[in-house]
Amino acid sequence: MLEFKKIIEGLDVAFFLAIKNLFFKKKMLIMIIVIIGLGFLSMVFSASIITGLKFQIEDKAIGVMTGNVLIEPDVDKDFILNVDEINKKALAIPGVVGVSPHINRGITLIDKHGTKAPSQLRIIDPEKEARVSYIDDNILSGRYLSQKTVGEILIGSDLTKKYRMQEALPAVDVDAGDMITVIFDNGVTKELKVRGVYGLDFAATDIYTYITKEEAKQVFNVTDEDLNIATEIMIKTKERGIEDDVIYKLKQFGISGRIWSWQEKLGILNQFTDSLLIVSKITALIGTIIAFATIYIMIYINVLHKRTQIGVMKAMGINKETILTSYVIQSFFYGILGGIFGFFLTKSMIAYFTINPIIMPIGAVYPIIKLSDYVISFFILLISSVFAGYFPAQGAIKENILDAIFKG
Amino acid sequence: MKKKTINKKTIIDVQNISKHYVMGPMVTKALKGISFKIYKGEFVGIMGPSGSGKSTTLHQLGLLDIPTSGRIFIDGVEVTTLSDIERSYFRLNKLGYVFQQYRNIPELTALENVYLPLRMMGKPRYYYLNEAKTLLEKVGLKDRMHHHPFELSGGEQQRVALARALAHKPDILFADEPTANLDTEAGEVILNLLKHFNEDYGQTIVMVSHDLEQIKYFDRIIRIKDGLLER
Repeated sequence: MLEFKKIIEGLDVAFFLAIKNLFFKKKMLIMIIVIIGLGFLSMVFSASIITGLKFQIEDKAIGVMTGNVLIEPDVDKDFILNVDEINKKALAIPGVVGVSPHINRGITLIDKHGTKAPSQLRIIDPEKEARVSYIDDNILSGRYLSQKTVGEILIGSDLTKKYRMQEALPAVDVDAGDMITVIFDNGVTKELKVRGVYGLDFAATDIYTYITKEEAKQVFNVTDEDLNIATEIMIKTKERGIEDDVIYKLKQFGISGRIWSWQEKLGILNQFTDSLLIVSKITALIGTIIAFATIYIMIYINVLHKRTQIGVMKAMGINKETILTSYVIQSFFYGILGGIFGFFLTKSMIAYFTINPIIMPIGAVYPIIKLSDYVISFFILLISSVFAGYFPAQGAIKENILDAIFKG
Repeated sequence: MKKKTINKKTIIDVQNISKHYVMGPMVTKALKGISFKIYKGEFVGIMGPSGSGKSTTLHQLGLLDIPTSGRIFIDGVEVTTLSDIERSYFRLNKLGYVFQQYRNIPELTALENVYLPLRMMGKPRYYYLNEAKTLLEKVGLKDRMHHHPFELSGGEQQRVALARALAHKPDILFADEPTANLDTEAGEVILNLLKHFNEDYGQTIVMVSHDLEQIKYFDRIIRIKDGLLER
């Protein structure tokens, strides 16, 4: 009981000394808070940009290449049959917001100069595609396809000399409104008008061409019944993370074929974005180390300047534990105040870059940070601050009283 | 008000203490085996030339340092064998210090500096505030109690240090050349205050000084030269 009373008394004095120390030199306090705040920023901001970049790459790939879930025919089959039935079943699954079947064919585009550019053609229902992909929102020139569009083609920007990002790939000299010769893989050659050029500033997605089913009926001389097939079916979900549930439900509905989540389907691209996540974590770790080192140095210098004072307090009979606790409490408050400042600083930066995204070759990149990242960073910073206060103070309190007083 | 009495009760018993400082191959013998007693209620001056070992003696008595050999008893307790935490507790409850350079805590006001030891002892708020205020009044700093040390003159800072050293009513007050950094007038104020606390409250005081002018304040002088008592 006596020991408990002594601990409480020690805590009372430690808290009192810590608060007095904290607010005595306000400029010093502000400087430490700013430095810890910048440490917080360095821990989370760079990582949030990399996370944003990762998200952007994945989002574009999901938005054009795979959807959240992609159904492909079984290995021994060329097409998925009864697409309308699958469409209905998939749309009945909670979280599914769009289903778009594609019939993919090979084509060659030839411009007025005779330049050829091979491409993958996607025969689509434009309304269904708009619910699944981002193409309709990313028209660089001209217009998106309508349900009844015939005699027109939508092409990806990387297939055009004017809008392409990759010089190495073959491209044709066309823009919206121009005529272009299209050789289909069934041997049919047709002059089509370029209805629009789409582009997401992402090389992997801007290489496709699109026509409507109405146009396909003419080119391939087929009926609506014949087009109730697909080479692939892209499924869009309300949010990421529910793909496995959707796949499970699709299988429960007896839908055959190979069903992939976007992570599985993106393969190398997914490995790349996962690598970005590791880079993001390393960046955060380096930020943490820098923050810790900075806090440690700041508090160490602060403690060094207090050696005499520590010696005097020991001479007065204030025990080492109380003195140490007062420095730990001080550091804890540095951590809290610096963390709060850092949180608002980072929030401000995130808000600024959300309104004014960073324009990268891949397009506008928005910083992404989860609440849990803030919380984790805050606690890491807090623990770092406490340790950064504890170790220098522990060293100082071990010092001989006379050395501390007269050599401090 | 108590009046000064020296009842020959030994409060400090120093038995053959020595203090050696080792710096590489060099051994400096600051104290070479000194013994003396100090009685309750005495105002004792430790005097001697510079480097004679008087401050070293005070540091051993005040538990700021540990002698290389010998024994020290304070109020019957052998303090040379106490553990670190026991020494700390002993200093807090039994001893008070006044340093040459004041050594107040700059972050605390005069009042806070004075009540800090009382607060550390777990005294209630009303008690430590009253005691500190009373003491600051006694040393003539009634109007300066909410000032920080850097806002006070040297003499005022030393009076704060004196009040702090006396706040917890220590058995012994140690003062290490408390007037050395002060002008004559401020120095006399401090010495008169020390004398006042000694005579009126029976405070035992052990003070280091090399100023012969101050002899008149002491009941007894312990002279040290070359680490030995001068007979």
